[in-house]
Amino acid sequence: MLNPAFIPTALLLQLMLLALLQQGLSWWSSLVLIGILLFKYISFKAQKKVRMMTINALAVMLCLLLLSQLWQQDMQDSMLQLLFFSAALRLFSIHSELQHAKKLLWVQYFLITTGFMLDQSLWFASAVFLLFFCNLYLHYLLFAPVQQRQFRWTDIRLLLWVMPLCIALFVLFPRLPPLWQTERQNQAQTGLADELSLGGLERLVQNDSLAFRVEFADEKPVQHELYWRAKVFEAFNGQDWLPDLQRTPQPPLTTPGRYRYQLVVEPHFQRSLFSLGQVSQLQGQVQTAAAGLIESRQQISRRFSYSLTSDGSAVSQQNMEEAKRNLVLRHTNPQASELALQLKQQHRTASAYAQALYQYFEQQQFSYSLRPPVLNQQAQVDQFLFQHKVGFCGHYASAAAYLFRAAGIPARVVAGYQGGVWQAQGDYLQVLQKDAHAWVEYLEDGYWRRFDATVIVAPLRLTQGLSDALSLSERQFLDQFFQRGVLGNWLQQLEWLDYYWSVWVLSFDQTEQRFIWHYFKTMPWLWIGSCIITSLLLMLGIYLWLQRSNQSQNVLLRQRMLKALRPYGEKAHYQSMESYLRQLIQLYPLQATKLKELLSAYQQFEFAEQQEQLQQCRKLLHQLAKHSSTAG
Amino acid sequence: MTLKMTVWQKIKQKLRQRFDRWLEQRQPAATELTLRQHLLYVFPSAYGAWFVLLIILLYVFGSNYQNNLILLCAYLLLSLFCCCILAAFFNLYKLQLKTSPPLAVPLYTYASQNLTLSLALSHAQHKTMLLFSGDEFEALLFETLPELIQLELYPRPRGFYQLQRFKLESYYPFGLIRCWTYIQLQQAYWVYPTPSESKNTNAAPRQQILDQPDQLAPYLPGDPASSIDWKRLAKNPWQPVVRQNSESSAPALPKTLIVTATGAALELQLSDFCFLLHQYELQGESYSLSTATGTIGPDHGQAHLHRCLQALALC
Repeated sequence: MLNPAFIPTALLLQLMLLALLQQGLSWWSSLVLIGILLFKYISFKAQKKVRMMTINALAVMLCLLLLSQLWQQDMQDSMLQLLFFSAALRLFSIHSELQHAKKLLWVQYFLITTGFMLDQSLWFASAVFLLFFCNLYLHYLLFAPVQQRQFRWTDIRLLLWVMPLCIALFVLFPRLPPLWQTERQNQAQTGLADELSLGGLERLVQNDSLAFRVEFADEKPVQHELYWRAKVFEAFNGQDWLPDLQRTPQPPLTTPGRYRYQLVVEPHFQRSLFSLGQVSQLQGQVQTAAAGLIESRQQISRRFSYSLTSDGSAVSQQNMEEAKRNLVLRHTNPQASELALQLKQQHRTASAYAQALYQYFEQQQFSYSLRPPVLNQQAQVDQFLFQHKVGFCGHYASAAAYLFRAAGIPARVVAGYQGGVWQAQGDYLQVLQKDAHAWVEYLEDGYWRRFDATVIVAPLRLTQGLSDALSLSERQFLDQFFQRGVLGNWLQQLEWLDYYWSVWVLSFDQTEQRFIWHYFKTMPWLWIGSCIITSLLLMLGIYLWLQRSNQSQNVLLRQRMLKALRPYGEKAHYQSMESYLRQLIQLYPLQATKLKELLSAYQQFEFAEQQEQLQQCRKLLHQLAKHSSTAG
Repeated sequence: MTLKMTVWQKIKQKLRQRFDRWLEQRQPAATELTLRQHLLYVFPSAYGAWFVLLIILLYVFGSNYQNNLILLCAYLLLSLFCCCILAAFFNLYKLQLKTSPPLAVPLYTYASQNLTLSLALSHAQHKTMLLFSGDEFEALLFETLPELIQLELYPRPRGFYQLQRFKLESYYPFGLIRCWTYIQLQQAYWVYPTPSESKNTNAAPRQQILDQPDQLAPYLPGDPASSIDWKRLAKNPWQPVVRQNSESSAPALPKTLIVTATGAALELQLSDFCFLLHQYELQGESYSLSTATGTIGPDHGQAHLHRCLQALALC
């Protein structure tokens, strides 16, 4: 017999799970699942039993359907769907059998936990945990008395014990490194693309989802120094900037840096990571890549955390190859090439040339816009520089890099993020996708110096953020992408909770575990141990004392009497206390008066429950015990 | 094939005997029993094993995808499993079982009739979902434990039996851990032959003896324990009182029953005698019984009746 609440609760659970795991399910599987749940609801209401044949046929059909979709889907999503189908069908088959219900719970535990593969943010995780506890409740119902609906107090106490144990295991239990590499094949990448066209970052700027969050350990850089490098584009084909294929990672330096910071990156299904200037120390599952960049060892498909130390200074040149590579240019923009040569003749050094370029952008009335005119295929840099003079950071970066290369100065385009918004009283920095930015790095004296024309064209972009740098109409254009409901606004307020959730829970790893173990080892164990032992002994003593005082007074008195009167003669088993005393009165006429008093006091205490007689008994016993030597 | 089977059965039997002997040493039969550590066995159930597999799977998944939340779930289930061990143990721990208090008349039933055996339980407040099962009675599941449980023993052929070792188990809570114990209570019971009236008996009812009130006297060492007035003893434990039956008037001529039949007729005769004995007792007559092993009586009274019935049961 199943608990009558079991099936409705399980139905509700699966419905909520279906809503929650929407993003991992394809549309047709969601439809099928809704159908199954609905049908189960109807048959449950009608008290009808579903035939096992039907279920098996349905299962075979669904498996075939899933197999046919296998090539188009990610492995992980297929697994999720398979699990969900098995859970739904199992629920479908349950009528009143304990065996099926047990299997259902097992599958549901697994299914609910797989939900953490999709998203780990605090809100989603709380919903998944809620369902997890819902399943636990179902599990409880299965083995509890049939009519019982609620937890009993003793069981709640059991669950309370579970929590600290669970946390201790989480913090202290040793962890395994990943056993096999997993890359999600069909997952769309988000964030910065692998190429940069002239107006390339447009799309990203309309997206206000979170890119990453940073917490600085001690010193924080000023706002306009926050250039988060993510990708370097070294090859230009006339339209797009592409990354160079030769990747020669350099060993990380170990010089101390000015800024120590920890980043928590949202999943973007790429390997590239973010850093400030030249990186000197790394911590976490990260490695250095070419051009002073940082990358993860595997694709980032979950929230990912790492720590860096960097100087904030310019990135150093790696080798001569690098300089040569960044000079390659097909002169497809004749006007721009001519301008570059003119400026180069007037300004010999690279830094002077950069200053001249800044001046050029300032004097020629360039402006900043999110909706620049569309450029045609031919000579895009020329069109931008001499015809429209309106553009976005992608335009400025491409054009500047072209101008540097045309003047014979090695230069490359860097894509990443600029700035960010300080959250929770300036404790951490939040960088959104709309903070995406592109700029140029040119080589001088073995260092790659930064050149960002946006500083001149839209200085507010760096200090105040993007929307302040735009005109009113453009700002309205941008705002239409950022509509949020009341709930969205409210959740935005609690964003900091989510941040500390990621820092403390999601990014807890072996490094921190090792640190904790080390901390434990260095604790003064001798002192702690002795303290614990003494307090335990003390508690035991108090416990025994309480037990003793709790024991009934009658028993204690009887024990006392037997002890005190032992010298006069032992009490036989069959004798009552009174007959024993009477016997003593006859045997010892000298003590007869006292014994008689004792007898009457004892009787009054024991049977008339006169508490004051206890004292009398004690006094008499004391006197009798004193005289026992003379009596013996 | 058959040889193999018999060897296998022999081994099984041997093991079974060994196990029984071991249990006998561990818990000899007792009238009162408190379940303590040495009597309780705790081990994961089959579902518990599946649950452990789930935990391992989640742990591997969580490690591989470096997903702390999956790991957290695995640890949550693991700690639940560990706490369940304790909870399952405490669900039986300290439970006290007592056989029904000694009566003047031994526990008895007639062949082909159920016997209801009652066991008194104490310290049973928070215990739930306990399953009593054994060879002699149908398994009984108690959701909450009453003060007194009644086991319906299956009907058996006449004779003298000891209550066999029975099993008490619980999967509570969560069904992951099974806690169980094998209990041997010292409780004997008699199965008398079924009384049945045969045609050739026609004993006329005689007048009843006047039932005189019992007389009380102080207890002296040597008095039978069965005659102690227990109600009064409870009120005043220091002065036991004994109940003395007044001697009835002189008995009439004693009736004598002699078991003579053998084989199939024996059962018929025993049933017949059983009926007669009851009738004589009801009529207050004096009677005696002779069997192959000896002669009882002549006498009357409940004790004598039961002595005679026991002799019949053992024929």
